[in-house]
Formats: sequence, C-alpha cells, structure tokens
Amino acid sequence: MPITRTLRDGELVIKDGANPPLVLTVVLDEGDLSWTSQQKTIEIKDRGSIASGHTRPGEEQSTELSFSAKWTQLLGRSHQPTDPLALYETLMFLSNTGLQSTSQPGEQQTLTLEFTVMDPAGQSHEKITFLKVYRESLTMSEGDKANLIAFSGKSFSPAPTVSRVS
Amino acid sequence: MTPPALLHALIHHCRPVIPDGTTILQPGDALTITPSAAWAEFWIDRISTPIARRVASVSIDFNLTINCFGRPPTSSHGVSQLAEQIRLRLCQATLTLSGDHAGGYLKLAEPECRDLSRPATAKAVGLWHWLIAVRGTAPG
Repeated sequence: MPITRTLRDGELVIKDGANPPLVLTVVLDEGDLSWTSQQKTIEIKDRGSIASGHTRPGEEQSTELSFSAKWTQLLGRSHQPTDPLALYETLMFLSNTGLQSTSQPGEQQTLTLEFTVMDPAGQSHEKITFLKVYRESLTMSEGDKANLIAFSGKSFSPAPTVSRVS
Repeated sequence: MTPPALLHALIHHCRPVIPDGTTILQPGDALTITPSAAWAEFWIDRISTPIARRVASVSIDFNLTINCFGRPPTSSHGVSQLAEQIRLRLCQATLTLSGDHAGGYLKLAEPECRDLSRPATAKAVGLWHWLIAVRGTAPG
C-alpha cells in the first residue's frame, strides 16, 4: 500500500545566488507550503462553435507559492556577522547579510527554494526546486503560541523542477 | 525533558514562595497528613508533542497541575495565599535550563486558579483545596 506524504516529511531550504550559495534551512516552518502552476490556453471558436474551433498555448504563467513559519529573531547575520541567517532578513534581502540574488543585476532580487520530501521508507526522496523566487508579500503576525511570518511570492518559471534524490 | 526533570525544575523555581512547613509532594510520594497543616502536590499530567517537521528540533507541550491543600491550624486564607503566590511565580515565567538541556528554556503561559474546597468537607474535616493549572513548553 503506498505511503502518503505529510507535512512531517518535508524540509524547506532557501539558497542564494552565490557560489557556493548561502543556505538557510527553515526549521520552524508550519508545514503549509503551497504552490500553484497555471497554464493559459487560447480558445478559438469558429463562429461560436467549439467543435469547429481549436486551441493554442497561451502565455506562460509563473508559479505562485506561499508558506509560513514561526519566528524568533528577525535579524541574525545582518546584525552580527558571526550569527546564522534569519528567515526575515533573508526574505527581505537586508543589507549586511551577504546575500546575492539568483537573477541578473538590475532584475528583481530572487532566491532558490528547495523543498525536499522524504520517503518514510527511505528510498524515494524527492526534491522540488523553485527557481527565481521573488517576494510579493511578507505578513508578520503575533500569536498565543508563536509569532508567524507568512511569505507569498512567485517563482519565475512555469513549474518547479522535481527530481529524485537518494 | 522527562516528567521528573520538568518537575524538578518547576519545583525549584517555586520553592522561594512556598512557606516553611509546607510539604511539597510529587507523584508517588506518600505523606501521612495527620500532622501536616499544608501541602502542595505538583503533577505533570499531560505531555504532548506538537505537529512538526521530522527535521525540526523537538519541543513538548505540557500541563502542570498543583493541588494546594491545608487544614487547621492553616486557614482558608492561608491556602488561597499559597495558591496565589505560586500562581504569580509561574505566570509567564521563562526558566533557563541547565544540565542535559543547558541553553534551553522552559516557558509557562498564564495559570488558572480554582477553589475546589467543598464547604461540607471544609466544615466537617477542615480541608481547604486550591488548584493551579498552567501549560508550558519545553525542549523535547
């Protein structure tokens, strides 16, 4: 019987454009990563008739994604060079973090998100890579049990790359 | 953290506000109450592990319940004062841990205090009972 994956099997890692990249493992994420790939299609109907009509591929769409995480410190390396990177300063590309965009100079600042889903049987782990991820919104909120960062953005690619990892 | 380790840290934190002569009991302790005027029982009666990624650091949620008892010559006021002192001591407290969990923290939320003294029992036997309940988080 196939074993379904749950949020317990996931791990989200953020990398920048340096070589070798700066790496941040999001250890306090809520397990609510969500992404949507869209496909646009142009429908051409012949005088209203679908049967006589045809379709054409439409414009490519970038991939929307979102996730949230608990936060402790907002500032890490941007405050103290010997501290680890914090999630907030990474997503905001704050100065003094040393982060480099994965896009060309002059373009929007982007990062790479790698989401690994572990196989509970230990054999068929998969890595889902989102390239050129740019931030659209970052919502910070307080809570009784934990304060949360909610990230919403897009990956400038039609779909993430999925690959098997050992 | 194990329940005994949690209790040890929490009792150590509360000891400064518990008057001399008040016996502190943990689960499994036996006490002959006849000569005792006041005692407090500390229980960890729930430990749960929050839903989390497998790769995340483990933390636990727990419930701490303290039953404060008193009988003559301790008055009803004396037991409620004991409960109040413990409640204030525990409210939103953050305890720095040492030993096996050095560098970690034990965090408590806001306690609830309830007077469970039953008037009939109090009149007949003179037993006063206050309960303090608080939830907290600790390293796993």
